[in-house]
Amino acid sequence: MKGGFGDSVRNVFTNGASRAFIVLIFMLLVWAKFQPNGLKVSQLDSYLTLALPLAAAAMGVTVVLISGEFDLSAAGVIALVNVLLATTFTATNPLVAAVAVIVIAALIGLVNGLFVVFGKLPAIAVTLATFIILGGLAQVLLPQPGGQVPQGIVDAVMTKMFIPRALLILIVLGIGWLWFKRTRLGIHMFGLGEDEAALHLSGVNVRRTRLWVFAIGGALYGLAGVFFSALTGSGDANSTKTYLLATFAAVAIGGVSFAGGSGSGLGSIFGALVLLAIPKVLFVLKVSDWMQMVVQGIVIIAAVLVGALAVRRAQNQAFLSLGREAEVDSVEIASEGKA
Amino acid sequence: MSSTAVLEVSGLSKVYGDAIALNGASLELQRGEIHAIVGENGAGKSTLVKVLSGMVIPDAGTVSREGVELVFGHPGNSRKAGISTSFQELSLLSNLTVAENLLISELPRQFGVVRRSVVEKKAAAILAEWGVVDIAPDTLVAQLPLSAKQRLEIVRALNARPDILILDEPTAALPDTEWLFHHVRSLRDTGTAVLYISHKLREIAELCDRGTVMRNGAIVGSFEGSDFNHDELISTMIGRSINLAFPPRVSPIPADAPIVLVGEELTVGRRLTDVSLSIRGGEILGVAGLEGQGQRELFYALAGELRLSSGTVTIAGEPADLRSPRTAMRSGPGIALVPEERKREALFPDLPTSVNITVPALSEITRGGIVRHGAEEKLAAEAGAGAHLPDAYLPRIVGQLSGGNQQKAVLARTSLTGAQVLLMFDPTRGIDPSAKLEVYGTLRKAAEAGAAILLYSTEIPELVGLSDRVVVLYGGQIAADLTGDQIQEDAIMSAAVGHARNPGTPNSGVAS
Repeated sequence: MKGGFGDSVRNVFTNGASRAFIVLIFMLLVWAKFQPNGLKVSQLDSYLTLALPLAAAAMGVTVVLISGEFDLSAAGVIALVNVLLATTFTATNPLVAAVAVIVIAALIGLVNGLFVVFGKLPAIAVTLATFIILGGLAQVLLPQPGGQVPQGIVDAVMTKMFIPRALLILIVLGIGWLWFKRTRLGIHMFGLGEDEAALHLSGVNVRRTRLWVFAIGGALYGLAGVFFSALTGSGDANSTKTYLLATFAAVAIGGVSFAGGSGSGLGSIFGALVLLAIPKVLFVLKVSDWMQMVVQGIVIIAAVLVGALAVRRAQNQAFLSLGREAEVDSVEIASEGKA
Repeated sequence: MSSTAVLEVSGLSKVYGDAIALNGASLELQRGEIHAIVGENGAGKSTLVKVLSGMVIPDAGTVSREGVELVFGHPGNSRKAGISTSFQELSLLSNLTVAENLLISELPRQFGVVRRSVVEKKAAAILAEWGVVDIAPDTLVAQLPLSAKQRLEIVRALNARPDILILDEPTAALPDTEWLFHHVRSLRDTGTAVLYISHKLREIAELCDRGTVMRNGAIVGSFEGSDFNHDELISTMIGRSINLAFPPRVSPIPADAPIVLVGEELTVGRRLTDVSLSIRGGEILGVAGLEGQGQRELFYALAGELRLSSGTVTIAGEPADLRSPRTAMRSGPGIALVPEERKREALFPDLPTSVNITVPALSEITRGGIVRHGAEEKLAAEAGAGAHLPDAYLPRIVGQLSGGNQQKAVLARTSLTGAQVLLMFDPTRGIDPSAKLEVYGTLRKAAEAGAAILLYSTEIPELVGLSDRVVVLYGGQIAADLTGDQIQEDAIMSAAVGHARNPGTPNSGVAS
């Protein structure tokens, strides 16, 4: 459309999703090259399946971050959903069970949103509390690992097909994202993260938008919980804690702005895949297991750094070419009471 | 008369903490009139706009639309009552496209999806209808220059075809006011009531049918048509009479005044090319230029904020170290910048004014690493007094002060840096007339005390009134270098648009 090839190349690097995609392709190539006897489809399948819960949860965090808020509740929701599926819903129709837990998860997100919107509480505090409470609740419901996730849910996610089923699910999630970001709510979500006051002045109901975003985030954590349960087949209230940090690592790699207003669900899916490709690549390169965490951290820093540099470069260009920004001549309010 | 009133505002009051924003303000808006609201920053104009637009709930008072009371606090209600507003601080979302911004509250959907092509087509039609042909609907708003953003904000308000149109400082960044006036007049002629808030009395004389003057949140006067005396109106606005003249130079710059700053062949990227200039102690060198002619690069490079591509800068005979603002400030007698966006670039908006002022002099007011509050307050009061900032504002959060008082705080802080080279980038931007006068006084006083001042202003009369010399930038070069009687508005303007070149000194502002 606009600009030449050079611009397109630059856009690839300022766009977090495409950056994460390039890193992902690079890592998969390294993995495939050094894997003894070549990379098998079954290996790829299990890798993608393992990425499902993380990808869904990262997408949930993504929508909340884009809207300009924080959400730490993902791991708590996943734990509760997992335990519910393994105990309360163990004998329920799988479809009903899956829908039920996702609705519950969405309601949890909505409650978070209500505290933030109407209670005017900081989202970090509210969702941290939710994370702790739900984790505790899951422990109460299922003190010892056990229980049985409805077989239908396991089959729906794990059954082998002509192509990796997980790939299909990831594609559906990606298409879902592309659809969602072009809905009214999606566009308002971006506007909300950019400038809540301006969106309000533009005549958009910002409270409703924020509540919806928290609910959708919650629903995606619920979906992540369903994937996680399908993977494990049973309940374990303790095994989901790693998702707290892993989701944020994935969205960071995926180029989502922690300041709101920009980001991509696709980027987060790629981010999740990159994060889980790290151990594979390290294994085939015969790097010690103990180095994994270090490398993960370095990859996160590198991803954020490249993104920051690209964005800063773009901003410097804008700084030089545009000149002055809008004068916000302060709130008039508190000025001359009586001087 | 009241039979044609479309909006009746009566007894609006609003208090924030100990600041009175609105104090029993009442006015009537008639169908088919353009009604000006004038007043200083802090007079309550913006609060009035926000109440009418549904952003702020007043403590007392009512607004009624043809007898029906407006329910406050919901932008939606104000819209339904036929009120549409172009906001001073612009309510655009920079990460969305022009088209999405125009249609944000009623994005068209097909199967739940907002299709780009559909939105853009609709937006293009809207833009064309309002005579805007140079803004592409698929552009991200972040990539628009401010003047285009301003027009977009206005088009969005116009396009609602409101019964009551509120324009809050619509020309702050609008070069082509005729475009706006044309549409505002034609809306007026079809019966729309327009509330026009502006600092620019010339525009008000040209455009408005009636006007109301506000001060300290109250209505203190009114006028009809262009039938007003500027000085009288300004006296009403600020509650005392003022002398609008620029403070004159008390004594001429001594012929042997040392040259404090010399810049030779300064180049920044492609935006500033081979510009040379020098400033004597006590001199105010004005810089004029239309937007984006390199003035920003010149100022920010001299302040150490942008890297010079080439060229040398000496300060008091020594090479200046411009690697960062910190080193620039410590070069010789020091270089300090009063930046363009005071709230973002100069202030810590959430901290008290006194803390903001004393930042450069922290070492003077600390003992054992701890700030002594008594010393801090004393120093802030001294510096504040030098910049005409009343003591009462010192404990306040600086972000809540009016623009004029914020700028005085910035100037007070700059005085504490002790820098002798002052780079003033549009120091009176967006501040009210009486604060402007006080800023002029502060500048003049600093010059009299020996500082070398580089002054950029978008208001040419300011440059004419204050500068000892003026260089005009055009296309990153000096297009004219004016001294003495040559410093006239028309000479500056014609050089700024690239017409005249000063034959004598084509590309240098060096004092001979």
